[in-house]
Amino acid sequence: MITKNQAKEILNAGLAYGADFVELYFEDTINQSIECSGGLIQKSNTAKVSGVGIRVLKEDKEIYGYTNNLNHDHLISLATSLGEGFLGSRITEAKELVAIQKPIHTKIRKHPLLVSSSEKTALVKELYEGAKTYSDEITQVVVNLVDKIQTIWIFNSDGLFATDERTNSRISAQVVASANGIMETATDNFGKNQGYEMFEEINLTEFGRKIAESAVTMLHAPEMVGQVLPVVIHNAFGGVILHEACGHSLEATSVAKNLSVFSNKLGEKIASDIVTAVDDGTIEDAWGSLNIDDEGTPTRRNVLIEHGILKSYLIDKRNARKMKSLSTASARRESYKFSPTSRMTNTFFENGKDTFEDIIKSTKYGLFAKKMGGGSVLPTTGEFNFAVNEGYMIEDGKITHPVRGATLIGSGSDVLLKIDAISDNLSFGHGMCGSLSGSIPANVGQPTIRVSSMTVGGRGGK
Amino acid sequence: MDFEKIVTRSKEVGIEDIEIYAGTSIGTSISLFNGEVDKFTVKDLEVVSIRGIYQGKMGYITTEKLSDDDIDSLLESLKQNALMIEAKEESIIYEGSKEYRLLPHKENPFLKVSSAEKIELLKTLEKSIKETDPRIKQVSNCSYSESVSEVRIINSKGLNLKKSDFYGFMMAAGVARTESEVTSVFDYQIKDNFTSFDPVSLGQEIAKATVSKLNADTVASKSYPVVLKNDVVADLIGAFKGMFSGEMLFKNLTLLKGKENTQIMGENISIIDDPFLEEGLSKSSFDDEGVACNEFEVVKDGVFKGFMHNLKTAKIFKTNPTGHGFKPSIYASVGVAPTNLYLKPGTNEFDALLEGIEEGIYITQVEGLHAGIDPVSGSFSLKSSGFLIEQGKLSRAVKLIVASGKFLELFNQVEQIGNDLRFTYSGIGAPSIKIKQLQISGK
Repeated sequence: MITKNQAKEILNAGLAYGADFVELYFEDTINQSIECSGGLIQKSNTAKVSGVGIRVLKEDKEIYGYTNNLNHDHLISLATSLGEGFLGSRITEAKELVAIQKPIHTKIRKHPLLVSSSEKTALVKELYEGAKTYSDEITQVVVNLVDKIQTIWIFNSDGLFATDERTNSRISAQVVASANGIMETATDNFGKNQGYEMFEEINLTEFGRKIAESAVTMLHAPEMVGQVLPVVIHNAFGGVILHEACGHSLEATSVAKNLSVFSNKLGEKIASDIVTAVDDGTIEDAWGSLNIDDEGTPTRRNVLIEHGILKSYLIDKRNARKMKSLSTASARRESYKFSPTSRMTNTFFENGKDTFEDIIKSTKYGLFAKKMGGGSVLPTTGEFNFAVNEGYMIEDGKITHPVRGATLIGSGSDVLLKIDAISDNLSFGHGMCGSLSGSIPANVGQPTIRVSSMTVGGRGGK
Repeated sequence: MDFEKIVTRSKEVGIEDIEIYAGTSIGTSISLFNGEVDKFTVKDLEVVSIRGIYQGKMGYITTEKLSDDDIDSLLESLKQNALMIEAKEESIIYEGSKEYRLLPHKENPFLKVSSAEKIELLKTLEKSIKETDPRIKQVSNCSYSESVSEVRIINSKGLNLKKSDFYGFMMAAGVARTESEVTSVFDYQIKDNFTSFDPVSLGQEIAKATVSKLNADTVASKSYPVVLKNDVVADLIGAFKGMFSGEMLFKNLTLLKGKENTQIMGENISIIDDPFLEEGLSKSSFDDEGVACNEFEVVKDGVFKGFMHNLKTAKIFKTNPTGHGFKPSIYASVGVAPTNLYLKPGTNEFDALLEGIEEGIYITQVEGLHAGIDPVSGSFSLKSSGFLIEQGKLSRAVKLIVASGKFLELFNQVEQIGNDLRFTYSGIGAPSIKIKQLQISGK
């Protein structure tokens, strides 16, 4: 896409007016998506994303520009005009570009571009059939299959040159059950930082059947009655509680500006003693894994909370300057149209000592949130919300009946201290996380946990 | 890119009809923190999306690599995508509407404004927030952005249309802190003229709203009479607007199937989509398929008047396209979306909405709209905050509650409608409304 010499020229153009750091992020991406509804392929799209983001820093101040016009002279003039914003004169030259050594955490065996149309159609149909044939009450199944091959080239004035190819694939389904004019939706998805070999480890018929079962169960469930009670949050996508209640508030994006509830709390107790939380971008083939982050730093395992004590934030290079700290390899962005900032990768609670059965058995009255939906948080106040897509009441240590329409709310600093049981069944769920630097694959995970008391909203009761 | 060449070449490779949708956008955004520019961003993009009918099916390809050398491979991808389609419905490339109502031509006023003036605007805004109340300790997300976009649609049936749009957006959030509490409220102004921004009054409003949320507590769980702030009403309409879409009808994903010309909401409710509305943010003469836009009544006096359609869904349901064939993004297929969709305002001043409520809740903000709603079932359960209403007056702040209900039921229980129509940045407009009863979960 570009030679090292050309890159160096652009970097030097950006440094001409006093900037101390310039970074180029070239991207060439192919997104392929198909949508099946009513059992027929209705849409098939290809999108080719290609361009460059040029970032110019002076201390912690940033000027960013992006364009899909990759003409060399245009990029020289763009870099110059961005750098001009610093109104000074040159203080440094771009260093010799040296390719970094990067670890490999994903091995693609079945490249999406080599998968035939008929094979893709068959995968989508298999999931469709699994869901549709579960019950006569299933009135619609929409399946989406997307794959993305992103190639990036990062050059910076400190002499870094890094390149990587990232492949991820994801299948998702929305299943609607209807009866007596009432409709209920269930959704789920499966994604990996892999090609189509990821389908070797999933039975799509069974996956579809389970989503349909959830939709039908919820269709006949009474509405959740709003109240404050203990909540048992199941494993896998249940980890969205860590993502919302704590993860976003540990991102340097808000921490560096003292805008987070967890700013200036390193070394302090912020969670109950049984809680250890990790963000690890190196897990093999996992949905949130990266070989290098979007600043070219090889990813790593960051322990965020250890036995309840706050150990680390998630930090990118620019915020590291603000915080007088180092990058934790947490810089991410959706594409060249965003400048990178600190984000999560694979974020999870470590296994605890309890078993799932013991947690249910020792809960006299509570809500079992079996499947979580999405949520959001405002890091400034730490207040979060998320939806329970499939919930059940727990009475006298037993799961009794399903409830629908439950929403969990609270504040991160409060809920982490109220986790009173953690089981040993850690698994992951595959989400898309939207924030300042766009929408990125984020893996959430946890073993089943219990929060001793939470506010749960719902339409039930009077 | 040579669009003529794409059209000519498409015929040669067996594509029956083809349409090129080309979008350019340039823009600037600036964010300020503690009186200094924290980040300055410029963009300059040109994206070409091509769709074409091959063997009767519509294939799509979108690219940011604008080289004529790629035309053949793009057309080949388009054909491959068309061959994937199994749906039987007819694909249509449109020759154009008989006439288009034009929007008044305006010069882009932002081009004449220097960066220094834009930075000064933000400094004024930040200062205004900080100086309005000593309990404001920080200002976050203080930023300005402007975007100029242009779209061209050209097709093999002779359509050749062009439109452009520009806006400026200024926003910030105040952060108030006491020993035991943090509150933050964000607000914004969107203008099509730089001189219309009023950073001083916006700053004062943000500061007042932020400190007014201090000393908040939850409330007992039960159903309450509720007043919903205009922005909250717009958020809810935006979250459930798919209900009115012909595409959702085709997918069997709307509760309103078969409900045309029946009473679905209270008689006091009218919801209108007006592509020419002066204060609207999504003004348009034609949709993304070249169909002329017109004012469209979705709900009139509580009666559902009909679905919004694009070319394809109109054909399926044997009706006329309504000019709602919009792409959710340039990379996606044409779907169905409104332009300036709004709830028709009433005549009540805001205070009149509170009158007669002995104990109720005024909801000023809902969160988690992507998660706490089911657009198909119409149910919502959303984290909310606002104020307690006691004896017809606002009293203390309320936080950490969940408001739960059903979209259609909600609009069957509207007792009064305010006169304070406001369009949110999502393009949906609404006034504040008073609801007879809504389920609130707290403690």
